[in-house]
Amino acid sequence: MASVKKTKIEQGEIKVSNLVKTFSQGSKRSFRDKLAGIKSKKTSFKVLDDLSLSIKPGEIIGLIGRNGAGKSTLLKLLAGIYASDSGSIEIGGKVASLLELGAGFHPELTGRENIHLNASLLGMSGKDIKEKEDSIFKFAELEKFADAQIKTYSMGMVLRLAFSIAIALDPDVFLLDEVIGVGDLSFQQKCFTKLNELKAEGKTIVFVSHNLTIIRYFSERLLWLEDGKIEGLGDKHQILDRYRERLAVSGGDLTRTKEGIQRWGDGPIAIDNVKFLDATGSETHLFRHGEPMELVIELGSRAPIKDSTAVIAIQFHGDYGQSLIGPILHTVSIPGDGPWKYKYRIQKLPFLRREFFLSVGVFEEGNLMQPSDQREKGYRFTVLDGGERMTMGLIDPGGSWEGPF
Amino acid sequence: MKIFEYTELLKNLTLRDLRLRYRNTGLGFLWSLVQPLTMFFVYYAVFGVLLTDKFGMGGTTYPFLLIIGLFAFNFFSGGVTKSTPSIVQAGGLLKQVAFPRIVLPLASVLAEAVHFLMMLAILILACLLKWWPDHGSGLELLPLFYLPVILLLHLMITLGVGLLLSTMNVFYRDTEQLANTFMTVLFFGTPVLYAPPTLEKFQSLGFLNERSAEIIHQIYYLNPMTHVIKGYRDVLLDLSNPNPGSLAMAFGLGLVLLVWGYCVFMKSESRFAEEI
Repeated sequence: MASVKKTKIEQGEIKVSNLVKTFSQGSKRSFRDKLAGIKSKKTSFKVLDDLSLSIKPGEIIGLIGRNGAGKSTLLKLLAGIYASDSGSIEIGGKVASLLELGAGFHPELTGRENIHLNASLLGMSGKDIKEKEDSIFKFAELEKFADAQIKTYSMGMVLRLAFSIAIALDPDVFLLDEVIGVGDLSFQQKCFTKLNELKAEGKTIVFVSHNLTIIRYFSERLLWLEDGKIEGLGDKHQILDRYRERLAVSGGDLTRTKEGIQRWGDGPIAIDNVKFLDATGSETHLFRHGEPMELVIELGSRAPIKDSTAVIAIQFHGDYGQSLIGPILHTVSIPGDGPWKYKYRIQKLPFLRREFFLSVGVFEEGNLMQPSDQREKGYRFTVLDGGERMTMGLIDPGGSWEGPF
Repeated sequence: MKIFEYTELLKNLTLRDLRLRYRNTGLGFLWSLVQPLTMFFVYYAVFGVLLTDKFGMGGTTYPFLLIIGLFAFNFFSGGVTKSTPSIVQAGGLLKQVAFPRIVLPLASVLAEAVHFLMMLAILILACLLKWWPDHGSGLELLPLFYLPVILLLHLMITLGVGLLLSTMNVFYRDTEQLANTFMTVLFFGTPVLYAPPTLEKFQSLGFLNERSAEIIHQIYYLNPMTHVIKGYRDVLLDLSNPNPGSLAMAFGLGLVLLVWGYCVFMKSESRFAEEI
């Protein structure tokens, strides 16, 4: 398409210079407006503003940024779906884009018919499709369902089929938008293995993901877009640290989670407040690996409390919400209505560069089944560094190696 | 041209159209015959039998004249009304995958063309049956070789209008409704149910003066479908060579429509994804 010039640059290379893309917002025009001479009110805004970058063959670039930063627009320009206003895009070799899994699938057609339609949509020739048909079904693990209509497939099966078709294209440049990490765990692992193979063959991969774990595990360099401009391009660790910090600063009250917060229990003892303190004793949500962290839990009362005892439970979760440590139970005395503060001190934070959630619950003694007050994943903090030698881990147990003996 | 790399896609889209239309129906592909044939019998009953006195359209050749007109016009109107919304309907796809957008209206027209080819086979069969009883050496059948030429002109016209309207529909959604409405007008403004009227016919209507009768007559013959239908009838009904003037008109108008439609389409193509 107009904006994508195919030149004799290196296979898999991407060169973007001074790319500008504006979108106009406004209501759809109709004949009536046209006839009445009404000019529709349109405001235009720059989605991408003078963007220049170059990507070498064989690189895996993760694209991050907040919603509306221009990530998907950039991918669509690279894929040739949108035309740019000015600037140029040069891409060496064949480009394949997988921007939405299953785009172009028709529920009434069978898996096989959909493969033919979808693969030809992506530019594959009839001969290639016939040759690769079996391997597509095999990779998707759908051999048995080849001639069943897609509407009988589960969502996971559709995603597997779509991903397998895209993989079969064998492109030089692969553009992926939020589609990595679909399906069950074993299929995810298969996709990662396949993408790593592509990388080893010198294919270039540019992908968008909001899952920072996948970004961290899979990419090499990161491109960070902010309001249509490049905020950072370079080493993933550096960029991710800065990105996390930025997200944290702009996100309002960051030690509280807004979505997915679950609070239950209506006993007499309530959790009034939970704070994270760093080594200097000041409140924060940003921590460094190996440094001290202090948790301050403030308990109050919903009903008059006499001198009694309670059990505080805390539990740490990873960025998927998976349980990591805990629940850690601790019996405390409550001398009266309060409020009372309790501290949990971690000498050396074992967590590695990631976002973590904390659940806090409080129970009346002798009744650990019914919380008096429970905040499930109600608090969060971010660890900015650590884990340079561990890509997927969340916790450094602090062990040390010896040997050989 | 990039479109040639996408012949497979064009094939698959056309097949999808054909497969989906009759999937899960009892009669399946036979439906494509039932509908036009029913139309034919209804129109024949009304104009060929019931109202012959009023319109003077009976006679032994009338069913032939009618069925040729109906089938040919059906291809045109079907192709145009199916391709007009083709871009807008594929909206989600346009935003996700880069492919030459022209395959969408093209596939819609081709799917209709496949149907028409079946109709044409029926027409040819009927023509042969009519010719057989007192046939000569077989040389009388030579005009049938003009059919591919007329079919090509027919395709040019349909595709040209389809490209124009599918582009317009992206920017003005009224286009689809307008096209459907206009198709009804055109159905009666084209010699589908009747033989093309002469200038004298317009003059004898009584309420037109000589000048306006001439103008209306000229406008009437600016409709390329008039010439295409006339071409089919010359060949299939009369087994005579088509009128060269008619062929030339159809070709000229078809070329203008196709080039115009193609240029408009290609010029706007890159904006489709964001306009939808």
